[in-house]
Amino acid sequence: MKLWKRTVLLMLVTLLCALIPVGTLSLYITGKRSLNNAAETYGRQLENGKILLEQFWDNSKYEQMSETGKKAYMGFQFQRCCGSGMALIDKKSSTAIENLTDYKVVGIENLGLKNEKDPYAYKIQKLGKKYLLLQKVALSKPEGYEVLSVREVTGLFTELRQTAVWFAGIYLAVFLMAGLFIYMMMKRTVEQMEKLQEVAEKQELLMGALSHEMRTPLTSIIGYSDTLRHVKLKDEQKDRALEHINREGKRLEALSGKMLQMLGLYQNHAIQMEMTMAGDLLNHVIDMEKEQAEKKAVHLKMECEAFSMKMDPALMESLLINLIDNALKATDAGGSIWVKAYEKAGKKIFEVSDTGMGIPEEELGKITDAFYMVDKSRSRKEGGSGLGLALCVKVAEIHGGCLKIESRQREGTTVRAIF
Amino acid sequence: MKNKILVIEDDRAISELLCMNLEAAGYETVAAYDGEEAQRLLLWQEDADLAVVDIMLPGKDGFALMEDFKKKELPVLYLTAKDDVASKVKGLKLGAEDYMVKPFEMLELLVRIEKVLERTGRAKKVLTVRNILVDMQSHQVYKDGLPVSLKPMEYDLFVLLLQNKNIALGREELLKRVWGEDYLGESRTVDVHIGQLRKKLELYDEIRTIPKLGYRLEE
Repeated sequence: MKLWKRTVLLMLVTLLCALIPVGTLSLYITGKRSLNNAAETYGRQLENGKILLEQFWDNSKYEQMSETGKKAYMGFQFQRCCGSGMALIDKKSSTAIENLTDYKVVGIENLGLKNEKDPYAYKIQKLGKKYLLLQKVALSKPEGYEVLSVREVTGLFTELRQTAVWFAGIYLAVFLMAGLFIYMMMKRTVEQMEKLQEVAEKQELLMGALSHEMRTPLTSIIGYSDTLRHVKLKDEQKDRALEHINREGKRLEALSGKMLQMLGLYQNHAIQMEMTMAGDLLNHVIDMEKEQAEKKAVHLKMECEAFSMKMDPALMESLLINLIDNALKATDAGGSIWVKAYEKAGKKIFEVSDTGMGIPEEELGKITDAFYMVDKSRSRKEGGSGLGLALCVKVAEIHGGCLKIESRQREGTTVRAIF
Repeated sequence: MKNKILVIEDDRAISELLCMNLEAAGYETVAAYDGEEAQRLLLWQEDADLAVVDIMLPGKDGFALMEDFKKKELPVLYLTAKDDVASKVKGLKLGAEDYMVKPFEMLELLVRIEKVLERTGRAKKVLTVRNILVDMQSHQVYKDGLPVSLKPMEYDLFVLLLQNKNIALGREELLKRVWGEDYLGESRTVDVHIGQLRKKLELYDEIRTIPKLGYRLEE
């Protein structure tokens, strides 16, 4: 099982362990208190009955009566002082002499109250589905008798049971909610973590590619300078060596420039969006690239609809320049490059198309990766660093757009930036 | 007769660097810049003695080229940026004589090339400079056809300089490679032996003192 699942399970078990004792305890306390209340009420009634009976009882009269008279007197006095729900018990025979309860009194000697003196002491007896509250108090007059109170408290227990069901329901709901919440939170955390890991892996890959890209020119630079120091060379060889050192150094410089640009893009605060006319942007870019195109004898043409867009002009410029540079590198003398800006289906599109060598289909997916080059030796010769398209994708992303590349080998490539 | 070395490397700068140094050290070089060109080159250059091969090449890569080299019984030294163990093991198991990782030291590459040539019996048995000839098999040095007697250390030192013709060698480097790592003498020893060589062989100008570096045998 994965760690996050185990964590969720552990948290839920802990929650359950906390909820169950709390619920049981509160239920027990509620039940105990309502029982005590009932016992107090009924105890007071019992106490009152006892006091009355003792007040009205005339021992001297009782002694002079016949057996039947005695019985009748006792019954009369008991009914006068104690109401329904009580029974008069003869201690010697443990039988009910007068019974005003709805039940038959059996085996009263085994009642086993905790404290016989306490009039509020009680005992619960279960009789079928009924719960009975039993209390007992001894009489001082007539001696040898006691009063038993039998009250039904089934209602209390039903109520308690209902409370328990409510408790269970609420706790279950809380438990499920908490469980869901924890699960979702953990899942999101884990997803975030995986995403971070992915980014870190990508970064590592990028660093690996970067160090390789830096190492190659450095190998040449160190190698040639070492050769110049140690080896006796002809003058033309010396010139060649210096030329190589110079070119590789420039390559490193270009690479570091592009890297800095990339890093700048990752720190978004430098971006300034403003409304810019597409025509102005294109004119500016064409002006900058004209010279290079003429040098390579490539026709550079533009076509533009009048619309404006919210953008960072410097970034958009670098995007277009990168695309045109790529097109220039891929196009041989006599070819042509079209730079277009138009609106289609509510989307603003910047397009750079060339009649160059094109990109093999299987490479299309990889060319936007940093440091990926389709033809390494050709690209190197043209001074490519393999970062241009990666940069373009990032710029398009910042403007909420994307890059679409279409290409046919030996026919040309079309790159559209769609916003 | 010079040993001929094929340099198969797609980075022009590094290819030229290799050729420049190998030629200065007294080898003949032929360069190819991709896999297919290397195959073509193999057909033409029957008499090559060794190939220095990059692995990541356009077209056929260095590993795939191994079959062609084997057919010609040409020893191969891989020189590549691939520095993982798996690639090294693969390269050597395929039958390469040696495997070197970029960035590399030119001096080390020269020594390794020399050793591969010796191992495969392709090293030149006779070295020459000006009017002096060294027969490596009989350990004899001739000047204008007449034998010159050199002490063992002088002979080793001279051969080392000859093998690295046109390349400057530091005093420490010479001490290490002629006298061995454990030798406790000081670098003055080298100067004394160099002086002896200059006198005995009359190579006063050819064995140049390079300030701050050491000595170089020039031709």
